[in-house]
Amino acid sequence: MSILNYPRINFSGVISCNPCTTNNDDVMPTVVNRETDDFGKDLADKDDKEALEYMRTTEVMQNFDDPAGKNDFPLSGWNLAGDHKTSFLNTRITSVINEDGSQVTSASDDSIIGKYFNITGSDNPDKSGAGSAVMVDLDHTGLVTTQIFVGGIQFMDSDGSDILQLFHDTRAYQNWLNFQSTVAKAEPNPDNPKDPLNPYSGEQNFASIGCVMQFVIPASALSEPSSSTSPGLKNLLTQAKASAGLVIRFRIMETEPSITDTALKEVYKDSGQWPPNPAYGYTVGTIGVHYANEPETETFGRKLITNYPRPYTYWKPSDGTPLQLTPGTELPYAPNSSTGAPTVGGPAPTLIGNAVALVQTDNKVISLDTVESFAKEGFRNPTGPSVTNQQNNLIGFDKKQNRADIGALELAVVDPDDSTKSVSVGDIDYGLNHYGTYENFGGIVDISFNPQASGGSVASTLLEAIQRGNLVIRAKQNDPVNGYRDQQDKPSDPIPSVQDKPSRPLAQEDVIRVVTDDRAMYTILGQTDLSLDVKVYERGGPTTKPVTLYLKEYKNIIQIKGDSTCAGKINEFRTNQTTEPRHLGDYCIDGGSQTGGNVDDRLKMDSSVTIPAGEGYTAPYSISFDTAKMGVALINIQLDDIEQGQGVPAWAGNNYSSIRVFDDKGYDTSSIKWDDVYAHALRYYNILFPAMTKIIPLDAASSVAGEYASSPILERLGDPGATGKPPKPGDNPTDEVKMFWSTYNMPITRTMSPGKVNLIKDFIKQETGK
Amino acid sequence: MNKNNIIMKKLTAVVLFAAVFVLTNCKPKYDEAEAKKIIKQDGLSINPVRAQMCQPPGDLPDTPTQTDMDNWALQLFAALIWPNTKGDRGVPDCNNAIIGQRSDGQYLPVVWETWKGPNEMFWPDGKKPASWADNGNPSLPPLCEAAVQEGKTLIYLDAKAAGVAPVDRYNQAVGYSVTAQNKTIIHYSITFDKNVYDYIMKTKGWNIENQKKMSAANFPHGSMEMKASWVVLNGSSASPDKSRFFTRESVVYTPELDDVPASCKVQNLGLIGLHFIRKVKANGRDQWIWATYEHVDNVPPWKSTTEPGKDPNHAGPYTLFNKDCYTTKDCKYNQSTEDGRPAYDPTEVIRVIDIGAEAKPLNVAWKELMLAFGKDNPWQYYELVETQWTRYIAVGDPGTIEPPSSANTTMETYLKEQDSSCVACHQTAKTKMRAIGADYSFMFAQACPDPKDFPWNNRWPVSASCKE
Repeated sequence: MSILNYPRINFSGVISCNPCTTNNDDVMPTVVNRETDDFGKDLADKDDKEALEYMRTTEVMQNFDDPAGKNDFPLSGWNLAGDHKTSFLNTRITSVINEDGSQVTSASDDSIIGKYFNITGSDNPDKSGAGSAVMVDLDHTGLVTTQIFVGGIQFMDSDGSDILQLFHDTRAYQNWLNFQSTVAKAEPNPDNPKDPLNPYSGEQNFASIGCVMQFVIPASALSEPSSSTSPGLKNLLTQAKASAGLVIRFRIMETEPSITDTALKEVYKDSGQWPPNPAYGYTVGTIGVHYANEPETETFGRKLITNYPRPYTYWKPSDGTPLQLTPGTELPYAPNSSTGAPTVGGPAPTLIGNAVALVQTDNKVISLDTVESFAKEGFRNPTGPSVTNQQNNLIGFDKKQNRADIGALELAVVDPDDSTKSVSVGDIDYGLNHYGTYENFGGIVDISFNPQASGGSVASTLLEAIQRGNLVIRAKQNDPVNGYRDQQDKPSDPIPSVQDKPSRPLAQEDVIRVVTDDRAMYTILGQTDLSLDVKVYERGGPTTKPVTLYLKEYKNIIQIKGDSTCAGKINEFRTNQTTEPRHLGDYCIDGGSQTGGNVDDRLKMDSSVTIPAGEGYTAPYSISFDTAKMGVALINIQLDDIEQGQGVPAWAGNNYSSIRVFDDKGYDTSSIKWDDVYAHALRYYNILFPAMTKIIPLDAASSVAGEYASSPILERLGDPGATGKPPKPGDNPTDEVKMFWSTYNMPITRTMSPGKVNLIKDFIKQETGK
Repeated sequence: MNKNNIIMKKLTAVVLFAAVFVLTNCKPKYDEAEAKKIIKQDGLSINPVRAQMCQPPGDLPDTPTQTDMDNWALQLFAALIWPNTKGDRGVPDCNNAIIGQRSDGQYLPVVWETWKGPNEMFWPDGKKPASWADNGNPSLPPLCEAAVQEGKTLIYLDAKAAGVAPVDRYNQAVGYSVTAQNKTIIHYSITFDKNVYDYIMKTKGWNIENQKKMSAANFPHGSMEMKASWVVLNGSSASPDKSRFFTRESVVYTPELDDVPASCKVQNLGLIGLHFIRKVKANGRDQWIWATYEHVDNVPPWKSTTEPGKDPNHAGPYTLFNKDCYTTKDCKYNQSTEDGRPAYDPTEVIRVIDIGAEAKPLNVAWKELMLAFGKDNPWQYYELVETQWTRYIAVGDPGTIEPPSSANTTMETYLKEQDSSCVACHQTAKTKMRAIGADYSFMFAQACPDPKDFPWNNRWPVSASCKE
């Protein structure tokens, strides 16, 4: 049972994301010193104006050692003035899949087809309408546990009026990050000639990034549509009410900021201009029934990931250019790892992203979620005619859409004990001939199979083979794109003219799968007995033997320049921004090594836990931990004990949880001076989150504690509580705790410690009596 | 021929034309055809026919440009500075010229001056307001009673920002007062049109008790609100040239500041800034549009180092800026009293956000148009600073404020460039008890003035509905 079950409703359109990227720098020690919860050395001695100017200066981008400055970008990232709002634009229902698996794609058959769908903010306490969902990064990478705080969903008619609006405060998290969601034919790139993929380079290196997000609206929050007679929507709601709720899963891809890097740099040079720079991209998604005890934030089912060692994977450009067979010039490809182990940074990803399979035995179908699996050929037209953004620039989405041709693919089963034995299940139509096959159906491919057909060398029947074997995605034998070439171990190996054995898997089942919905937690220093809840599956079912999980903590050390001479330097960071790029990986602290281990852990937890067979399937298995130090920790839940280095060791295949430990420091609130309130609690946001100060200027006492502004501030200063997690049904949380988990919380970034929150509240009380 | 020469030729033509008219008719008369010729080439889309100019503009296109917005804002300006029909509040006298003077030398009341003010709408005892046509000044400092009884306009009650002490009645929306070069405190006034009045009457939101019963606030299409800023023209050497201002003789209450006792005097005030907001359909949906205007002599142009008097469009001396700051004087700009400036020391104000690029050419055309009403027409010295609105690019878009920042130097003096946004600030507006959002309007929050803000209100019974 899963989102992959029938019935479902699919949608596609455009997504707009407007996070303040300066926020990500709050983990850069030179910007914010998390040891003291204050500004770091680069900002400590600057006044407000100088600090803001600093955030607008440019630096060299990671991995682009380009002293000429061609690849520099603002220190604040691509969106200094972002307000975090995130929403779907012109996103419409594309199809309804009925309970029997029949497909409806015409509005004449179901009126919900063509109607708009959106994610919204929380139910507004002042009833002035739902606000907007907000995208917030918690982790120090700004990548692997990006959150969208969602307050609900809405179906809208063609005039924007509501058909159905549902409210529930929850979060979706970035999953399955894939840097190959688009590929393009290689062309000379003077900036980066070694880039093997070389797609449209995009702005701020955005091109090709894709990810999946998922959240649940529980059955208790469901209601009837006000105006729609759609049988598909009504049936889905009926089933969802009878189950655990609705699950919404969507992919974000081909996002790009709306202002070019060059233009942004010019704009930031002019201190009079602070335009927001939201990113726009495609979204493809599905709304389905959520079943009890399933994960809320990842698709339930049997997960397939790119395997190690990774096979060479080819694609055939659509312009008819013959594939170049000369090793080293045939592009793109995903290089193999010589060891197979994901070392620091890991080998480059292949073209294939994660997939999830759900065996619907009764329907004789395997539903395969490929929403993030296969690349599209070519980035969307960045300037094509579509709608205009707030700068009156066109946001282009009109480029012809087609999948990258990686040849004919199939779903197969491999014997778990003998990888030479396998049996095909069925072809995977990933939309190569018609892009709508992908886009209009949420990227889900329903593959029919005959349970009683032969299981080949794996089992007596196909159903038995599916149940005992490992699912794989592979090229069909003798397919001209990948059917031959995957026999190579390296590009210089000869390519056989005849394929005499089945293709090597491009993605294979992660037999033991670990999932956690505790992807981002907030707690306070000193809290103990917190829990990180995980679920473990074996081929989608309960485990049959104990599973040991290894817990690796990655500290907030991103973007610190490290080198072999850094001994004795604390938090040393780029003395020359134009020649020393931002760095994702090594760090240098307290004169220690560059590869981790000597930064104090933020958390106290066992380095490994063993989950008994069968546990963690229905009820989650709780891993307890205590706080040890304030800051941000990124926990990687691994199935092996390999130290993966610092930075982000692997993208799609790992399971992360990020935890912010707030300082437990209190402030003397007996006689509060405005200067202290500003310096301790508000200056940080005035500089690093300037969108907030547009609403309520944060650098003026009369504004913060004034007649009009103080009330919104008091209402929105939420309390994280101390459990690390949102309240559960029956918890009876305070209004402040509910506010923290809503889309209205101030600050949106949720980086303010409870002590600072109280400092502001007490100051307002002192000044206004409120 | 450069643009200045073209303008000068036009100006010369207008002046000559006006002179001929004076000689032949003895009474200046506005020539619509000539005005049409003048403004045609400069992108200003105001219809110079008086019957059109005197009407506020309606809806905007589904995909408006900033120039569309700015033209709309100047049309709104023209309509709302039009002399009002005597005895009929908020109705322009379209047969009159855009500027008219009474025999006593006072300018005729203009449309927005005749609208209602919060003092008429929200009584300390929470009682039902008088009708739209009736006046009412329920709350007067005793110092002012005599002057008001003489029928003078009272400015003090209309200040926008209610604060914790009377001095805040002179504060800006986010706090602090501003002091002009002539060492007088800048005053503010607020009014709203009949749409707003009718809506508050319909919701009965004139007191807190009634506001609690409201489930939402949604002002009707066409609603308008106004805030004005005024400088006291006290005749001192540092006082602005009053011939360049729209003026109003008013009762001015000044609180005790820096040990200077409170006073209430009849003063001549010069208009230095205006905010208009109007709710219309734009970009496919009803939304408030914010337009802000200033007198050209308020401050130097953005990032200007040109001495006052040398900029042809900004003659100076400046009302809120000392030219010596460019040369001999060590000035702290935009310094509030919180930053240590004594209350009666002039605030040296500089513009931190430039006037909108699209507005600038329209302002040139506006000046030309105003000259068609006579060379002494003071409205020629006012300009549009910015028009702010919300762009929605598609269904589902929460909207983006455009342009992201704007500020009026007389009303948002202390905001930094990245801080200032009319729309973003007004998003926080709620009713007095903060029960519900107030549709971007701070008007409901004016209900039941806090007694400690108005100590003279002791003579008024404060109703139970106002005591929370």
